This record gives sequence, structure tokens and C-alpha cells, in this order.
Amino acid sequence: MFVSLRMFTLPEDRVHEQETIITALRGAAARLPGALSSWISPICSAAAINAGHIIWRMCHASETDAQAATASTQWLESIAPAIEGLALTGAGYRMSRSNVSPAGPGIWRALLFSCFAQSDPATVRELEEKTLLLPKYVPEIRSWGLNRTAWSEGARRIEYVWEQEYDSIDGLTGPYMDTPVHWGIVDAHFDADCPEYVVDPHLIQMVGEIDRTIMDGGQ
Amino acid sequence: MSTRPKMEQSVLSDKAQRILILDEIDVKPGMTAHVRKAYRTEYLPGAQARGMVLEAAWQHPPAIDIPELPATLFYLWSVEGEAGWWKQRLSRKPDGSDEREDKHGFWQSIAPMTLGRKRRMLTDQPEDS
Repeated sequence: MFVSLRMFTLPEDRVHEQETIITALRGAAARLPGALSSWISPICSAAAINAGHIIWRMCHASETDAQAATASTQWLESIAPAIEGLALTGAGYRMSRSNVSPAGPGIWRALLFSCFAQSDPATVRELEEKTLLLPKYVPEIRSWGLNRTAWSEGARRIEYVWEQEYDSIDGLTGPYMDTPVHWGIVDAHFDADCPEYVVDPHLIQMVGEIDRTIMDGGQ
Repeated sequence: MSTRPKMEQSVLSDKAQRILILDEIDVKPGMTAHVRKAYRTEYLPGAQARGMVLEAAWQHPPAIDIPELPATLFYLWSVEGEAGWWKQRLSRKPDGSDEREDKHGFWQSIAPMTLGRKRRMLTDQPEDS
């Protein structure tokens, strides 16, 4: 499965249009070719870091299908006008490292980040391996994916999408932050005080409310 | 190895677990005093402002600087629980901007005088050990 993830930031004088744009996107996305599922949601201000206003997470059978969606007439006629004038940050990635468990309402959270250019590949591999320990030690993470992007769009390069689902935001702000696996091991790669520091400090964290699992591609 | 007496452990268990942060800096021969001074004057005040408490500072070789040999400097810090740990980690400058560039800048400034370094997070051992 291939995912295209897009975040839209509205200009200050258009923030009041958020719901209207979401409604327009949902209507148009439902008729988009090449999409297995689409989840479009306002971004919760709680826990947001460098986040915009609207998330759109679309699942496709393949990267080719993702490209077909944006090249379609439907995109040009309905999506492009709806997002005109909005700042776009996006990434496409294959769900190659994930574990998805269907579940009910909750929250979806994504951390988008990049490693510094010229980073030591061994340190980057260590970052990935340690991050993958988190779902094991934080049972509140009910679904997760850690994937390298195939492409990204926007002002800054995005190299990784680390996404999870929880029953509520408490799972993220509590157990996820409190586990010693996080602050004692993984975070060294994000911490300028540690020699393992390898992640560019410009992170994007987005949280959205979900009615059910969205990481399963609508299965 | 001696461990904390049982009674003191039970008193501490009601509070946030103290987290220790240990810096271990391997210094090039002849540079020990320079690194020590830089750490004390350029790193320590900021760390204290972030809520870190310097518990101890040690070195090897012990007691004296031997310019012919590399040395290792150890700095042991403590913070109160996960909240204290994240407070120092997510600290912001007075203008609200990220402090990571300043932290990284300090470590880069002493890098030419060092051979390597480690920072490790420590806690008391679990009671079943």
C-alpha cells in the first residue's frame, strides 16, 4: 500500500474557510481515481508542532495509482481549485514497516522529520531500530508505521513519516512521552545535547481525531 | 556494589523517579583545562536554567591534569522525573525559539578539543536486581 499525505496551511485571512475547504475536498476525494481510501480532517491544535490546518491521508494500491490520482481530470477540476492559495506540505511513502490493528475511535498522530544531510548511515539505522522499539513498550500505540518517503513536497524535505494511532491523545501525551525507551534511548537522535543527534530540528507533528482506524487503507 | 538502603528506596518511590544524566567527554592531551572551563562557563549556566542540577563532576586521570595523556571528564546531572527530563530537553530561549541550535553550537565548539563523548540517561536499578 502507498500513502500520500498532505497538510494544508491556510493564510491567516482564510482560516475561517477551513470547514468549507474540508467539505469540498471530501466530496471531490470520494470520486478520485486511484484512491483506496481518503481521510481528511482538521488538525487538532493540541500537540501540534509546525502543523497547518488540514490533513489529507490517502491510501493507494501503488505509487503509480497515487500519481494517477493527482494527474486525473477530477483532481484538476475539483481538488486544484479547492486548494488554490493554500500552503502545501506533503509526502508519499510505501507502508513497508507498519503494524495496523483495526480499532474504533481515537486519534492519529504523525511526526514528519528528516535527518541532516551527510548523516552517518549507521546512526540513522540506529534511529530507525530504536524507534521501532516504541510500539513494543507502549501498548497504547494500537497501530503504527515508520516509513521513508518516496517523495515530499513543500518548503522542506521530509524523509520519514512516523505515525501511530491511539485510543485518545492521553496515550501520546502520557505513556508515549513517559516511557524510558523514549526519553532514555530514542530521543538521543533528536537531542542536540547527545552525540547521536541526527534529526533536523524542524519537525512537523500532526494529530487528528479518527472514527476508526485509518491506517488500514479502508480494508 | 552497594545499593540504596531499602527504607530510602520506599520513601523515594512515592515521588517522581530521579533521572540522572551522565556526560562523559574524552579530551585530547593538553586540553583538559580548556574543556573544563568551557563546560563550566558556557554549558553549565544554561543547563541549570533548564532545571538540571549538577550532582558531581569527576575526571580521569584523577586529581591532576597530565598534558601528555588524554583525559575523561564526567558530569553527573539530575532532573526530577520525566517532567523534569522533558523540561530540559524541550527548553526554549526567552524569545520562544528552539534552544537546540545553542546546545549543538556548544558541543561543536568543544569538538576540536575532544576525542569523543557520550551522554547517557540513568536511573536507580529496578528493585528485583
